[in-house]
Amino acid sequence: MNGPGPMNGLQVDHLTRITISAVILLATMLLGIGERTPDLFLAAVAIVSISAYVTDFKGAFRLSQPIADCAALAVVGTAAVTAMRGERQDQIFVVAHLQSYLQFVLLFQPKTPRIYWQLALLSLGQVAIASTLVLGPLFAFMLLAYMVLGIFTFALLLMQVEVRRFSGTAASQLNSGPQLAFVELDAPARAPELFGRSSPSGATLADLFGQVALVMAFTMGASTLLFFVLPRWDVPNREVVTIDTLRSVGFSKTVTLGDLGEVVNNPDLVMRVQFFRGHESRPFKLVNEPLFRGTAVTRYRSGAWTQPEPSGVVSMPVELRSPFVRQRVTCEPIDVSEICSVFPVFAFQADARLRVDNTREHLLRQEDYRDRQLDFEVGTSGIVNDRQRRIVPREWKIRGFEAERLLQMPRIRGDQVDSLNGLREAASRVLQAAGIDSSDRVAAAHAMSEYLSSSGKYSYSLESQTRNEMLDPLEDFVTEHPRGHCEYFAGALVMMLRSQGIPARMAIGFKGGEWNAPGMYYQVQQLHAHAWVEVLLDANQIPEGEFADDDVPPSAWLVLDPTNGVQESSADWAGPSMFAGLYQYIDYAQVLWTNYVVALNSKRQRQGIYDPLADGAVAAFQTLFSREVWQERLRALSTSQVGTFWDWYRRHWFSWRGGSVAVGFSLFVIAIYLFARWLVGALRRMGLVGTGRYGSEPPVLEMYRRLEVTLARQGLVRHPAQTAHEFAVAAGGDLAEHIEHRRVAHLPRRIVDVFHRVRFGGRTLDNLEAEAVEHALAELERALARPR
Amino acid sequence: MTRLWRTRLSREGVYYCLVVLAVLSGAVGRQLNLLMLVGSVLAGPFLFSLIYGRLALRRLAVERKLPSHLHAAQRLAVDLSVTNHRRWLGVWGVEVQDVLRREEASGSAEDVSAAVFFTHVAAGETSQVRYAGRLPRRGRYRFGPLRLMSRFPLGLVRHSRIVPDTSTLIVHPKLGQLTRNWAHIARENASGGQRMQRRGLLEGEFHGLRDWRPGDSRRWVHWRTSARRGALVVRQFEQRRSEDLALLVDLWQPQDPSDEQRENVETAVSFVASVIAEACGQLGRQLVLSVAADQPLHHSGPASPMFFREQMDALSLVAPHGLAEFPRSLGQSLAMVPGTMSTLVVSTRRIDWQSLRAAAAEFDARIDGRAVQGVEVTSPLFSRYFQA
Repeated sequence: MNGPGPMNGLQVDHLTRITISAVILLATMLLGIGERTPDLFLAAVAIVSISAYVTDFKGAFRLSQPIADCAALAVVGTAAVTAMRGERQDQIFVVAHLQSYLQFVLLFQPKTPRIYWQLALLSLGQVAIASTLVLGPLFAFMLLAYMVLGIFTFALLLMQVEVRRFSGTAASQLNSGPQLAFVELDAPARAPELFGRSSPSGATLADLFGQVALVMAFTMGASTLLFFVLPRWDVPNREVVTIDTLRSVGFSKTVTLGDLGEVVNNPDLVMRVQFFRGHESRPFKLVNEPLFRGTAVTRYRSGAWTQPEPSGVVSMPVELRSPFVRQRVTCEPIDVSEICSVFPVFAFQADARLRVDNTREHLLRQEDYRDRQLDFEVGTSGIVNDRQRRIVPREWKIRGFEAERLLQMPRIRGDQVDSLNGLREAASRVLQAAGIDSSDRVAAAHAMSEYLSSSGKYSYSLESQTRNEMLDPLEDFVTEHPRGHCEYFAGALVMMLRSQGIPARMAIGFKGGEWNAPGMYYQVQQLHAHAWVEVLLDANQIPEGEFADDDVPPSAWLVLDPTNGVQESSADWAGPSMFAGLYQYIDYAQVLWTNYVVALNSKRQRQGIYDPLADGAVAAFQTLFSREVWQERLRALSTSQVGTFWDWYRRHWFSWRGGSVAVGFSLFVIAIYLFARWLVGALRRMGLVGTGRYGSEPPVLEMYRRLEVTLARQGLVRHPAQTAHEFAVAAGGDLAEHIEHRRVAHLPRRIVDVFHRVRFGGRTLDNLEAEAVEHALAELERALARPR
Repeated sequence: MTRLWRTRLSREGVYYCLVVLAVLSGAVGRQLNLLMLVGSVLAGPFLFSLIYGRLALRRLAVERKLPSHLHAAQRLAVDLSVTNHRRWLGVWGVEVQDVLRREEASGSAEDVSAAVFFTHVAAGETSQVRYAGRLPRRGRYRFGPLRLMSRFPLGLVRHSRIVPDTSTLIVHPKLGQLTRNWAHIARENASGGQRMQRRGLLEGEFHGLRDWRPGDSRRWVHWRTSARRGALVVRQFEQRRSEDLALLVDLWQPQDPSDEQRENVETAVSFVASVIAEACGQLGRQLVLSVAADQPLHHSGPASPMFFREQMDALSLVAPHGLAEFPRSLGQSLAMVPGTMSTLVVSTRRIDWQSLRAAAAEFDARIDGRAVQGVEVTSPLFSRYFQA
């Protein structure tokens, strides 16, 4: 971009054209990304290239202003007709395209500053339109690049214009050296005519770019501040609607064994979750892996799990339990209404976007909000001491029909063979082997879960397994092919529990997610989809100590995860390379972008900006003016090393020995200085060293000193209070009194006048003047050489 | 009172500001966050421009260097140097504007400005640019104040700072060309002086002794030496006395002058300046300059560079008088001029010899017998002797 040498006009000219082209292409590219078609961008590349060669470089084809105006009118007319026929969304694109077409017309015109500004203005319009279409962080990067190039372009343009302004009138008429702009005036003009020019810059384009970087740094700071303080207010339905195809989550309302398909290793983002203790503002990480439950399935038939019919979907009850944990969930647009979170949940305030299904005990979003990102905050009592409970309290006692659903098994009619016979036997064997009675639900459930997860017989696999199609998939998993994924493990455990009369259900949701350390949130992707088991416990079956005595719920869910071999995915990402960490930062940047740029609203603005600022100001005020704080500081200071030193210093502030040494040393330094000063003076007087300042004095000063010396021979010495001028006048008067010196009486004043003009008037002494002064001085010296 | 600092939006700046306001108001009105971002980012360079120029100009020092002297219509070259006292930050795009005004008694002079552009002044360094031109008229010119201006980086805002640094330059009269005819006249005049000297009308300074030649005055005979040598020996006086010159100038201009009459005054001053310049080429000649003007001048002294400079300074500022009668002061000046000195009477109108003679007579001086010549600037013959 820039050579090592200083800028030259041609280089700057070319570079300005290149950068304005880049600005145009960036804006068009941004628009193309919003439109999801590269057509306009490719057309712009072609037109920019052609115009650069044909118009700017070769100068072979240039649109004159009238033709360009006609072309622009034609473009505007065509666009207007198109806009009238189209929908509203289309009209925006028509306007955007119109701007491009107008740019194309301008590109074939000779480039003037006005054209450059028009091109920039049109590209700015495109960026403005693109800001409604491109919502990702890519917009920020491209906007940044756009601004850097734009500022660089117009800085170059300004320098080019200014330099031309100063060289345009005079440079063509230069008749002097490279530094001088000078015009011969043949006509006897009566008014002065002066011409300046620009300095030849020794700076390089890199220097200019450095300056642009400074502008950009300031711009980023100022624009960030401005952006965040611009007023926001709540606008209903202003959440950003995605026009992407809705993503499919890793769970569904029904589970069909073996039908895991594309969910596996699908890294699509589902949601981000942050946990806060009570009303604290700093997120924390759970000690154990969180299980975000979406829904639960209870009914099983031939390898398929389905949900019970919903009995009532209601708004979330607003309540406050203590202690509680806030969970802030940001859900991506997905194709189901279920929302995953840590249960049980409750709302702090009414939120019309959220619903609760009491039957299925899950959280729903309103249908209108499925196609947009949803950000909400709910409370949960399912987390205690930074650990997710494995026994989840239930608010009400389960009803009979609900309990029956949780015990449902494939029915055996007549002489039918029990399709889960092997599974039942396995469950019985496990309990017998452990010596546990099925009435002890907790122990029985743990024993059977341990059997599946730790006996070594069953292994985890996401690969498709060969199954005995004659058997029920769960029976086949338990008895013949003990390899499968989480749904097999969870389904088998549910059935084994039910076979022993223990009510249970399969919970579907996400396990763990990735912990993003920079952002302190869990990032849940589709590949984190998981299934586990919830065992119903009555109040008397809840282990002691799990809840406070006065807080024991009427029933609870014992959460069991029998799946063997599921990786602890919520562990801090310690990927194999630096890209893992980089990925975390990128994701966090995306979160910040989404939360604090794209979806910044009045609430976030208040919480994220104004409240911290106010808190900071209050804290700063307290820190500065609080008596207690200062007392505490002084106390800390007195016990610190500085305080210890001060204490020592107070007791030993004066020492006779130290004082004597200090005084002696100071005297020694002063003596050295005085001696050195005397020595230098002596050497100067002896002529062994230069005269220092006087040696480099300008000639006029030397002449003045000669004048003083000459007059001093006549006893005319300048009084310290006299200025040089006063001295010259007085000396002239004295000389005029003597007839032999009268003719040189005027010379001191002449010499001093010249001295003044040069020394204080900023003039230079040319040869003629120097000669004149020398002449006057010589004449004076001759005249005064004769004694009076 | 002049404001030392001034900040103004350029035309581009006004448009830019309107665009930014439009984007921001639209974005806020519609609560479009990304459009707010675009507007904020656009506002950044504008805010930078509002601040930067002032900061950039603050630590700049500017200095003007004028030539020590200048004759009208000669080339004027003024060096403007800008020093950036910042330690780290270079400054770009600084324009320095200088204002020039010819001081006139009427006070009707117009300001003329000259500007130079400093593309870049590196931190801690000094850059120098020269502006040049011609000042066609003699007189006292006041330079300044200097104005520093910057529109960097985008040309949206123009900051200016006035540096109250003023200087004065006295522009000497234009030196013209004295022709061969003038040289001839001058020689004749000088020889006339010799003749007068040899006729013994005035004596000069003793120079030496020589043998008597026919025509020598009896009073010049050095009798003691003649007696010792046995032949007439006369005292010899300084030859250069005959090259001395007195210039009596009637610088007249009517109250309501035409352009031609104004030009006549300038031509007369230029002619006198040129004669003095030539005369000062030979050191030691005695010169007298007496100008009947608005403020009469009377200078005399030996020819020297210093004398030349002083007369030029005086002639630079001399203004014509408007008295209809021929000035008596010239008669007085003539009376003070030694009779052996060649005298040149220069006038911007017809020379009234009678009045001059009468004025001289008042001071016991006579024109007759002197080597006195008249030069009328208005005469068509004048161009034979002088080319302005």
